[in-house]
Amino acid sequence: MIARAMHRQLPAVAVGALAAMLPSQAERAFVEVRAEPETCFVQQPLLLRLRIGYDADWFAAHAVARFQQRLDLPVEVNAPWLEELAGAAILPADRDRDPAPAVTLVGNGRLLRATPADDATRNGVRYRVVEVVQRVLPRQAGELALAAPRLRFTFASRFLDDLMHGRMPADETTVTIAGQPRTIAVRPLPEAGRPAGFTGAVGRLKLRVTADRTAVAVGEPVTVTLEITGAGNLAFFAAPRLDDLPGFHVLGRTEAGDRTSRTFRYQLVPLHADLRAVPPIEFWHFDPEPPGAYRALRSASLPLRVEGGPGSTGPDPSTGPAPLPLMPPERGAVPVRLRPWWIGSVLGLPWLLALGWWALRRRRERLARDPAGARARAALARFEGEARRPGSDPAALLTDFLAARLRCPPAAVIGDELAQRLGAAGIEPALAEQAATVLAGLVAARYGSRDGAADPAAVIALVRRLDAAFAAQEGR
Amino acid sequence: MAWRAVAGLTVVLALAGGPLPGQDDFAAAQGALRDGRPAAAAEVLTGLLARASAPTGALLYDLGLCLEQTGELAQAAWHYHRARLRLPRDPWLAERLGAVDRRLGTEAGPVAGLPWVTPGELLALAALLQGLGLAGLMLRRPRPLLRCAAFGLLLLGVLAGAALLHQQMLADPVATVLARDAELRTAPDTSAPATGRLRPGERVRIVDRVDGWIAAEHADQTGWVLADAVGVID
Repeated sequence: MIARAMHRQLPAVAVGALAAMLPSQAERAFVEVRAEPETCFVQQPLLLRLRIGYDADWFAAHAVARFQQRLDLPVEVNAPWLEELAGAAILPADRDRDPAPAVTLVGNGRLLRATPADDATRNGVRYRVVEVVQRVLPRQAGELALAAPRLRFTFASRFLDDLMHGRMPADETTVTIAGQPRTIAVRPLPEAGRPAGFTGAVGRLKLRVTADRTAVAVGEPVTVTLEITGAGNLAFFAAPRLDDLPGFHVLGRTEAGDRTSRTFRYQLVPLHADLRAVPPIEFWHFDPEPPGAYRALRSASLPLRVEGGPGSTGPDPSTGPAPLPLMPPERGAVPVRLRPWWIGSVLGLPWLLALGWWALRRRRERLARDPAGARARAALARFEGEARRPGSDPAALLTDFLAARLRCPPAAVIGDELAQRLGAAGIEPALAEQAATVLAGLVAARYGSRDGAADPAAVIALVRRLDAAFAAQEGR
Repeated sequence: MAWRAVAGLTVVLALAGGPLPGQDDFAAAQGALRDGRPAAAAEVLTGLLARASAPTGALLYDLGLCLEQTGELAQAAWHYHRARLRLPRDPWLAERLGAVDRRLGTEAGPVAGLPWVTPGELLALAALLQGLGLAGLMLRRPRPLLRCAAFGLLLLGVLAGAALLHQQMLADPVATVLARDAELRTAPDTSAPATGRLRPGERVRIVDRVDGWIAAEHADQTGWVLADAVGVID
């Protein structure tokens, strides 16, 4: 800290030159701030340059030292955001990239070191320029407000030679020059396209992956080191996740870093002896270079020989290394597209079976509820089966059929009133009369009469007509 | 006739005992992987896949595994998803698929096929459930509890059948984006304005196809993308 002001003698100049001074002493110097880049993303390192330009010749002739400590540039600059900036973190200087500061001046009440920059010419005046460079890291989206920097210096228009103190200013004037305030827009990182593996790294980064060995046993750790370098928020992102690295279990992780690099060391344990390499490792980061995009840095795979396990003698060299865990190609030979008719057939089959079962059961139930009908159908079947056989008794068969249909004993069928009874059962008179006549003839033929002998086919046709007529009556 | 039957059976048994088609290629792929050359293994398996009349789930899984080791994550995810249709309950496949999806950031896309069963298995299950339910309902004197259970089985069977029919006939197919610079456009034309960009590995639903273009639905946005830029999960 500069304790107190003190006048010091500056190199002598010709007094006559004072008349040639510019009208405004404020134009003897300027202060400004520049930001690189002009707009940025959250977490994108930002370079702020506090630039102080001064008319070197004029300063050499007229500037008055205001502080006890000797300064290369006798000015005081005030820019609080060099120390603290709302919404951003102040980063340490990058000595590898930034040139070494060489010019001393006072800034924010303490000694600052600035770096010479290229001269600037404004309004015909040539200014020597020094810069105070500060790196900041925006931590939130919005705006970074940089207050106007102020530059203060003292000059004298004439000096007196003093035997005791040498050259002393005869008239001191202090000038304060204000620069322009700056606002820097800080954009949020885009949500669209943000990969799952992104852990917050922003910048132009490089990845280097190494392993500490090329052979390891199953269950023993191999140290894989990820070294990330470049211009970015090196100290502010989370470690890349290697949980999904196939064939390895992440046992632990350590990390270290400095201003120019960040190093992660993973203890990876191979899970089986089939591994032949550490697979490529991806490191996702956001590259703010226009237009700004998420990019992956992918390492090459690292050859690794994994032996059987702790205490094992390793793979048998005569049989070669164990095969990789590929599936036999026959597995999973199933169609993923089924033909519609196949789907319909399989899905319809249970319903068809159920429908058939239901129909069969209904038929059985109906038969069970109609013993007379069953008796009649049995008689008809017996008639149709036996009527043509030699030696059969068509009269008995027809009698049984009619008895079943009339629901009476067979003996009750044979009689003169058969036609009337059939008519009463709903059979049309002609058919009833024909049936009675045929039955009478068959009965007579049983006892030797040749008049009643009937053609078996005609009798069968008659029985079928009768059965149809009875069925129609029952259905009605 | 007997000697002909014996001869035919002998030929069949001899053929059955010989090497299966593609076994040599599979062994070559294994060898390439063993030597740390996953790209060569992938090439061999790609040839095997091209010659297969119907790809098996294992072949697709193996190819995905090789592609994953070469860093072709989108291609690997595509083959894993195709394999999942055929091996839906395989734990190794599920692990690799989950890992690749996480690395690609594509866990949330549409899923092709059925979650736990193959179509054939679902068809058999639906028929079995319906058959059991119908049988239970048609018992001569079923108890109320049994009738309820049978009705439940029948309902499940019908729902399973409906799900299968929907998946097979009505559901839009799903595809994986394979190209690095796939863009959704307002019309099936390379000069049409782009409305969005698709990342490799993302899954889209195919709602239409026209002359080398597909209409893809992605994150409530529909647009046209070149058919070559995606791989249908089938």
